[in-house]
Amino acid sequence: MQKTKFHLLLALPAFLVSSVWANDLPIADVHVHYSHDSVELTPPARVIELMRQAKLKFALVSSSDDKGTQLLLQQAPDLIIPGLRPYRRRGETGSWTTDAAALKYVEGLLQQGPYATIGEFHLYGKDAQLEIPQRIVQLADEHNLILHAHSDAEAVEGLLASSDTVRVIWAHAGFDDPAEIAVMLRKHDRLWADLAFRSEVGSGGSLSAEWLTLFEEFPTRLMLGTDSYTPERIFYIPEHAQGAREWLKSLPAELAEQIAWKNAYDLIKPVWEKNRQSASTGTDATCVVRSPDNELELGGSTVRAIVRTDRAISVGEAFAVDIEFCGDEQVVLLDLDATMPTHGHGMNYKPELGNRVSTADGSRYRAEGVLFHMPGEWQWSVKIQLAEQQQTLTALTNVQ
Amino acid sequence: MCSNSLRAAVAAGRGFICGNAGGLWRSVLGSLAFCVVPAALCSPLASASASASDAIVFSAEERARITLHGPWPVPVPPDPGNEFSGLPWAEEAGRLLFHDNGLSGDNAVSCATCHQATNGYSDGRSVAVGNQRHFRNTQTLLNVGLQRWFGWDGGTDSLWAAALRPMLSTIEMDNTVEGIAAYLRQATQHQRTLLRDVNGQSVELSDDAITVKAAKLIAAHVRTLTSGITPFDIFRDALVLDKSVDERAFSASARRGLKLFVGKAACHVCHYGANFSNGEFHDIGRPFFIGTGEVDPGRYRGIQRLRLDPYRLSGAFNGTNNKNQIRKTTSVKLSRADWGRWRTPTLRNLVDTAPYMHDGSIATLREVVDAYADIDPERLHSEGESILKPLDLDEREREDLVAFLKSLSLTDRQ
Repeated sequence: MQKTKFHLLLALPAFLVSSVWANDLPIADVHVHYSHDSVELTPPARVIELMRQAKLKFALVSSSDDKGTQLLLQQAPDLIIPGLRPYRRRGETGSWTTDAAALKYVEGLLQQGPYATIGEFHLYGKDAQLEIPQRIVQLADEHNLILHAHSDAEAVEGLLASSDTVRVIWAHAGFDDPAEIAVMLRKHDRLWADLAFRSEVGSGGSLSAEWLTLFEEFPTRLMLGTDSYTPERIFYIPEHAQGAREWLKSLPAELAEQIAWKNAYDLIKPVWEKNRQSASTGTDATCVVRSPDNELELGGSTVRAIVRTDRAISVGEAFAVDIEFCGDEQVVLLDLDATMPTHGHGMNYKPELGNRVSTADGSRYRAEGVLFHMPGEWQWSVKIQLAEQQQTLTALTNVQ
Repeated sequence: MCSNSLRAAVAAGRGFICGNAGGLWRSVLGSLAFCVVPAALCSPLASASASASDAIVFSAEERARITLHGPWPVPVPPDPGNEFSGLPWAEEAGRLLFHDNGLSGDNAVSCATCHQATNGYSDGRSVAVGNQRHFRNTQTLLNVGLQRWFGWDGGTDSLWAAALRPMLSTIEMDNTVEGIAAYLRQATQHQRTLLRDVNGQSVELSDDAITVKAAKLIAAHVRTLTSGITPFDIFRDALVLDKSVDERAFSASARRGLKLFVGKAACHVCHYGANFSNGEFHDIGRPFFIGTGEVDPGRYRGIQRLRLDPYRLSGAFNGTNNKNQIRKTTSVKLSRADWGRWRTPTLRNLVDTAPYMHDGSIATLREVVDAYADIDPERLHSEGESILKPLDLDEREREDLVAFLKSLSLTDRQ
């Protein structure tokens, strides 16, 4: 592993982060939760808006339950990297290690789609040796996942000892002192540390000597996070990012970038990309249908698309759909229509198609003004232009 | 405060009284326990009488479909593009204009001439008679605010444009924008609401602006014309709560008719939702000649009219400019299949609104049922609604459907 040394005391002023540059410094936020109560209180689009406002490079999101993470991933696949918590609701932080249903929940979700991490979970002391945490380590190895552990040093060491390959992000760096964090990082080269909810780091806009020393010794092992453990803290994401930029100004530019986003990016992004590719078997993973209520996969050609409605379809009520194309091929949406095969007719309206939006993995279009005026079986029809041919993708949906 | 629909029903003396210290609207939507209706309807709700009608069992699918026909009443959305919609002063001003003959070219007719409260805001005629004899039936205004399109052909996209169109029609009120404006400028009873702003200051309005404002005030009033709870609504709500209803309140015949309505006859597919209309247009094989050598092509002409109408929502007189409300106007397709299509009418208050169909050509509900049951496939276009077919209904089934249709009207009108 790369281990770059930064000699802060010898650094010339020109190497320090300028204010202008620092204000635009991307931040990777590796500690975001968007749990069931947050989902009820803040729409996913608003969360993404806050993240964009915070100029995040990406966010590692894990939620109780997983639905919130998936909602954000659907909204912004370029911004969200999903982690998988073993919690279905808040309040399971102390029980999951002996709850077979929690393990089953994790195993089930791993079958449905890709993730980058398992966690953030809470684990202390010798509990790392329990059957379920041990199985979690196995799953991490089997699925190429990083563990994200809110733990004390003993439990972290227990996890690392359970496998020769598993990697661990130590959440909040165990709320230990910088010197103790340094001990662990020296001892375990498969360990990284997030500094979420460590408000003493950079308090008042500057770093203490102890933290400076830690950063200097481990420039590639530390990363940042908000920890939105309550719904309100989602709105703290921009404040957290801006606050971090303030104290990062006191570091050399290269080190500031490492901590701001590069360390997280170098560790988590390759894992996510690999897992996503593996899961997609040739098609983008964000096209995996997760919410049957409002998502539908269209097939019938070499290209796949997901039609995602903005609400449950009700007869006689106009709605919007996002059509997301997955894969490497350039796709241009020519038309979206729907017909009732058993009735011999279609819609009475021509939906308004929005402009093509490039996503990290393909493209997306929005169609407004779709209206199904009768109950029954409707067949979606999505006409697309590929490089050398036109195709029509279809799928059936039943509306009552 | 009483909801508009309840006010209308109470005012019309139609036999139910509602009261709720915490909010009447909520009481009607949420439960019937606080609604005092004639004893024959309300009191048996909790009873489990073993009557013949108890033998009629609805499947889970039928129950789901029946559930979608309520609850009733439903809130009426604001009239799109009408900045006065929902304002009490506008509703009252509109009521005065609605009854004002001065808005017609010859000062002889008003909106109320054809839309009579005593006839379910229709007129009882086969076709309307204004300045001339029309070729279409006068549609009820009850619950009209729930519609997406207005008129049999959907030629207008807002209630206020629908209120303005008859005034400018040579067949109906035969007036002009200039004529309407000239009348309103000198009509003292309307000046306070039409020619002054909210501070009471006089305002200068163009002929178009004052005419459109009058139409919007009329629409604000018409939007309040809603109907009350029917025997079907009581039965539907009880069904949702898994309670029984006495046969005096909802007869065995009506129950069998309901079962046909959501089953074998599949009426619910177009007569969908709480207002028993999907708000769109269908060809049901009815003739649409309006004399020798002339036809009324229904929706086809309606869309053409809409696209030329300066008062459509995408035009200059939209007072709210809600993009989502305008989209229906800009995205509606003109299709060959629209030739001879007519808007699906509500089935509520049918007892008051005979005769039926776009041209008033069917006098009774039994004849309506017969027309559907014995529909002529030869008259249905290949691009039309292919689920329409002869229903093979026997005599009792036809009467059952009629009984059910009557249950969608207020009790004392049946």
